[in-house]
Amino acid sequence: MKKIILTIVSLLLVLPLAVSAHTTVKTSTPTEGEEITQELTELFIEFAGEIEDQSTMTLTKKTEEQSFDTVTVQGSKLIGTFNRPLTNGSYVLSWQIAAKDGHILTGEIPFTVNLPATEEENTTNKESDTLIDEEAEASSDEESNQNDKEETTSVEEEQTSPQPETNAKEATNNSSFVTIIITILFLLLIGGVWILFRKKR
Amino acid sequence: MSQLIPVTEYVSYMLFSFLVGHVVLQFVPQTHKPIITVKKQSLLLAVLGIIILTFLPVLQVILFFSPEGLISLTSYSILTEFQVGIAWLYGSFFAVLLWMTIYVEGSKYIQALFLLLMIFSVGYASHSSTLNLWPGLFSHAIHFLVITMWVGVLLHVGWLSKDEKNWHLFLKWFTPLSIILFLTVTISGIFLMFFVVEPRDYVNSWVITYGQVLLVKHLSIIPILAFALINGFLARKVKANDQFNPIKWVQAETIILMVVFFITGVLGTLPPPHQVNATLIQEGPAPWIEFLLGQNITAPFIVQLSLHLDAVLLLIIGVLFIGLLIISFYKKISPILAVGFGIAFIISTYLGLMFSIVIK
Repeated sequence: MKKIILTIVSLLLVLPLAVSAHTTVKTSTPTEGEEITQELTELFIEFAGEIEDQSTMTLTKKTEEQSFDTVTVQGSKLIGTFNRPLTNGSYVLSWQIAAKDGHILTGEIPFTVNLPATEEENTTNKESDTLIDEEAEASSDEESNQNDKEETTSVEEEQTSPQPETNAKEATNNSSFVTIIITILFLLLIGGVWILFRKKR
Repeated sequence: MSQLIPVTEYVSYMLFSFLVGHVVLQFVPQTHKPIITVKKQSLLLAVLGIIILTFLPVLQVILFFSPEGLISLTSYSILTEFQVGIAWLYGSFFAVLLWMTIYVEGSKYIQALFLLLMIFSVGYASHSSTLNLWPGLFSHAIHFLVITMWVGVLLHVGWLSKDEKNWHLFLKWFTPLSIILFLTVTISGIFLMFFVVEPRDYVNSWVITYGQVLLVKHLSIIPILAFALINGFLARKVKANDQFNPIKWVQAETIILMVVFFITGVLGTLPPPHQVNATLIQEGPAPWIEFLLGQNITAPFIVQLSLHLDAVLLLIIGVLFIGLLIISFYKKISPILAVGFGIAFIISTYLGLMFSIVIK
């Protein structure tokens, strides 16, 4: 039993707390680091698997929290909406979800909103015509959808055909390290052979 | 807390194996198994242990989502609405029934039924069942059931039997059974793996922690097979009056199996690489891989294998270690040394494969 405990303890040390709390975001609007130039009222993150209903997200602009008007979970999507489009500035969208298998996952998506000057007036004058706002919302929705499609296709392209020029890496193994490893294992092998065949004679 | 989960998972796998092994051996006539003494207390404690240990992952979710603490409406709703919560409630319900059945020393069929239902509850909260409910649930539950049957019987025979009485009659049914179990575990395991790693991404996933741990798990199956070969076939040829002790060798096999259990526990806590490139961007590569390869890894990438001299040397050393493992049986060396050879095999093959990685 001592041996077992020893093995477990040494394994624990070898695999030092490799437990991470992040996972695959399939797609999101906005994407990480994206600069939004259209009015944005709906933010969503789609995950690789279904998530639990209590999953939530928060949006902060600098240190100020911008409270969502609704946050809903649909299958593997977490959707947050605002009644009014986001104003210019840099935001951090942070999400806390539980996958159906009990994995807790958190993450952050930083992005900036940088609307063209004319539209900015519309959004900063928050008390202005609601009619215009609604029109703008409708159009931004369409545009963001289009935007989303483009993004997903570009991601797929990236995955299927990696660009050679950025990835021409030479396999430069840490050669002295490799030599040491080989030597150690070889010596162990010799030691093993010696132990095995010594007893025979 | 999350660091604790692989340990609790590992212990609960062991407890499940202990119970499953106990139930399976009840179906075997006394003439075909060694004399095994199991205390009722330890069986009852094992059931309680499972209830408590499988609650920890649920507790983790509860504490994360309910800042008000454990006794609150939120934690109640997590317990009753989250898939992990529901799975734990069902599992514990059947565990209590199993506990009572064991307590009154009830029918082995009823024990088997409740244990089976507990295993299916485990399957319900598995990663694969959240991706595709019924195929995922069944393949996970079958994988879990079959491996606990194999390990369970070995645990009882290896660690709880008095002597090697009836050993040959025991091997007569256990060897063919373990071949069937092994094939089932392998097939269901491959099926489960394809839920998270696509076949063409298998090698690519090696740069991510999940893929690394999965590779180590796969490599450690080979020494287990070597031990199974020794215990199942080679040990038969040893004459009864010889001083050879088969039990020690079964113990050695279970030690490597325990290593695999622990690796599996770790695997369950890691984010699976559904999309390797995306996972790499979000997670970064495995913590030690860049050092091992001596190069930085950035997405997008493709992992290819090209055999350098170093890598070939390490792979050959690995194969020789497996050879030594089997020879140490013939030389009647302590099985502990054979376990050492098995672990040396895992290390050298693992490094051999790592050094043959070329990232494009």
